[in-house]
Amino acid sequence: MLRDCALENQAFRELYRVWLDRGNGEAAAHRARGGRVVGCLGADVPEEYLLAGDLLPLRIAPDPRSDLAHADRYLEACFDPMVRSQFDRIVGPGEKPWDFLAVSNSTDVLVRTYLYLRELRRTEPEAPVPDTAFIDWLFTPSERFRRYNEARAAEFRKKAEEWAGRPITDADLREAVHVLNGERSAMGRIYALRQAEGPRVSGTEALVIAGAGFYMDRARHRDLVNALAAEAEAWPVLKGPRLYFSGTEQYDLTVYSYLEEAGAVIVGEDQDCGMRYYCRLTDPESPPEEAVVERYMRRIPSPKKATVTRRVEALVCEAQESRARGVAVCMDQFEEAASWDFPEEKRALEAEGIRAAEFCKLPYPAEKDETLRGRMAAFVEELKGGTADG
Amino acid sequence: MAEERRAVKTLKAAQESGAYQKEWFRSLHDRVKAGEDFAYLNADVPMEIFRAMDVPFCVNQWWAAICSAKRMTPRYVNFLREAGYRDDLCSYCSAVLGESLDPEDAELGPWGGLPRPTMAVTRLTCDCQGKIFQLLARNYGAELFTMENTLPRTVPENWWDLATDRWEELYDADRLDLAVEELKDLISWLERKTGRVFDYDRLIQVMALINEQEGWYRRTRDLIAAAPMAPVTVVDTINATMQAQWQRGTEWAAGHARRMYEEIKALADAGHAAVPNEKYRLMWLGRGLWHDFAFYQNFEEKYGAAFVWSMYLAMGADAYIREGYERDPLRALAARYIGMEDFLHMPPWNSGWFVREAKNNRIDGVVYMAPANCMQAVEGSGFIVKALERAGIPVLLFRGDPVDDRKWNRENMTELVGRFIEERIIGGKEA
Ligand code: SF4
Repeated sequence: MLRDCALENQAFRELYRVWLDRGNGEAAAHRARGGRVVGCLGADVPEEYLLAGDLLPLRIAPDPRSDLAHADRYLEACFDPMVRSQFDRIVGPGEKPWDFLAVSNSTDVLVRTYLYLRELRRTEPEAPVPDTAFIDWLFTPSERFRRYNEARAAEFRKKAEEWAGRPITDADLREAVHVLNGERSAMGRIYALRQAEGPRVSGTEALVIAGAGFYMDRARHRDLVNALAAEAEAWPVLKGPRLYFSGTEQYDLTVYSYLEEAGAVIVGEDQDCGMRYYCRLTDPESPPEEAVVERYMRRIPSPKKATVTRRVEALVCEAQESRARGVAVCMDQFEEAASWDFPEEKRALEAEGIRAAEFCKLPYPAEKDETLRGRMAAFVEELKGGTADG
Repeated sequence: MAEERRAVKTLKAAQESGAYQKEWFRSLHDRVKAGEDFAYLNADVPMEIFRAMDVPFCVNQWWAAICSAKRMTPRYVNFLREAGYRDDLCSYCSAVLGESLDPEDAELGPWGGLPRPTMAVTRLTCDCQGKIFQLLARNYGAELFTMENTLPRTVPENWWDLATDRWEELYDADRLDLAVEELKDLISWLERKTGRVFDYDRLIQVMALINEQEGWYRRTRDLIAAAPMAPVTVVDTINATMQAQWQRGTEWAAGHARRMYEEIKALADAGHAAVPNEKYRLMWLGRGLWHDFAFYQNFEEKYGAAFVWSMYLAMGADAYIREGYERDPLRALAARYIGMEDFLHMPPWNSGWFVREAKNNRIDGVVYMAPANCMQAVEGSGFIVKALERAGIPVLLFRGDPVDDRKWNRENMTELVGRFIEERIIGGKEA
């Protein structure tokens, strides 16, 4: 649900333009200035190093129009449809907007994706797979794993230096942290507007604002978001039951639109195309590797990786802080891990008076599920039942 | 669902391991009843530590295979569904979670059901494992311990040439270092939990017994590969190997592996052929078809096609032996357990090995069951198929479930494999 107040706003319009273009123009412009572009898969690529080397991180977005013919040659049926589409963009023909790839182990399917890309490079040198880095974080909180992660971060720094063709100094890194922290704080302002008693920014609008950052210069993204945040304070308050969204990354607006057009207001989320991606700053005072690792280990525990207890605790806490009346847990087909959390999450949320619904095995694009809109509308109706703001 | 026809096993060793397993479970019940701690482990957890500390344990996939063979999986899936879980996820690893919800497990579960574990240990080799283990630990009132998983950055050619003696070269040093530290954490946790004291000398004995056991598997694998007619098929070797593999590090398991070798050697020396009209040698890729072992024998009479190879015996042969363990048993153990995921589920580690094994075993065709609902076992089947086909070995790839027989249709599958034999193997040779 993109309202006129958003579409008429200059900063939002610019973000929307970039978001729709998926960064193709931004990448071309960066290259024209002599810069290199790194296609990123996964929400845990430590972009601090890329920015420090003047490399543009460009999220590889899925393409809902793709027929997946190229991916189908390599991927088994149980690769989730969104990753399938991302893989298709990499291995399919045509000019690529990236020079290198970076893949983080944010979920199992991305680990496999990296292995397949590595094997493709080895066995089919003619395949369009450029030099690819893999970031093998260990997410279990522990001092031992932190040290292992620091070595991975240092390794990625070296790779970024190689790609940048120059050393990355600590000063470069501090500057990158400064930019990214500024961007995260700007996104925090938008989040505050969503979380407020009277939310001023819809979930769908926030998806565009957050998603644009995947495809553009981050300092410019920071500035646009800050400009927008100032103006959005005057946007009309949204009415409707407050909803928290959990699950699969939303590169398109469809699913959020289904929920918001039915009358809900998505006030928060833990999916990686939204606020989870921007939460938590990198400590500018700590030694660089330590600070980077700290940030990537300490975000909201991922629905895909964390244990059930950690997920339940995090989700209940997030939903309560958002004063959500309901939680929608959405998962694409074959993206299953979070389904193991859901029964516990539902029990814990309902004990707090928060309703929860699971929408699983969703196709990509979501429009392919003809029943989804109706099912989501029915859930929102349930949330509206007998409420003051519904 | 498959009809009740059972696989015909011929090896005494297969019968022995089946009987031993049953008896072992009985004694496990006694030990747990007497108040001993009992650990439930995922298959990739270094069980050698538990063995060395004499802490009884059961392996998840082993138990899942038993439940499947006893046709209990659908019952456990029902319990999952009733508790609000999906019934189409992770069937291999989640059967016991369903079982943990079964109020009649002691009466209806295999061999008196699963004793209540006091400890649950898994590695985080996939996104779901930690979640499933935490849930089952909670249901049983067990304490959970998880171990991390790291990805290899270097990919050596021909891992099987390095695994035995040059295993340091197989891995990035810091991966091994970390795994050793994790083993120490596991030991401390176990010492705290059980009150037992870990003894390095005992681990050295366990490692020695495992080398001995796996050495027999190596001889057995090589014997079957070299025999003009296969003296046994996978119907005998899978269970006999795996039942003993889960007991690895014991005198019994090492002795059983030797007895199995001697029995097969005697058969080979006598010119015995498991499939007297053997014309084609088939390789089974993927997890065992635990709910329908008889399926493997469906192609013997009609086509003279014998399933002679599965990863179970061959992994024992190539992936487990670690020489030099006396110097640093924990490091040698780390070099065993962190590699399993690499060897089995990552191209080119797996694809190169399958080609080498197919050639050594004079394989005419490969029947490859790719997992229906397990992301961890998504192992680059496209690369594997390509490597095998490029080596001139035809492959039939299909999706299936090793433990859940609800979607398995033996008739259709028999027809599919039959057609593959006719068109790709027989047809290919005639062309
Ligand atoms: S993804 Fe595979 S290995 Fe992991 S829990 Fe599920 S079935 Fe088991």
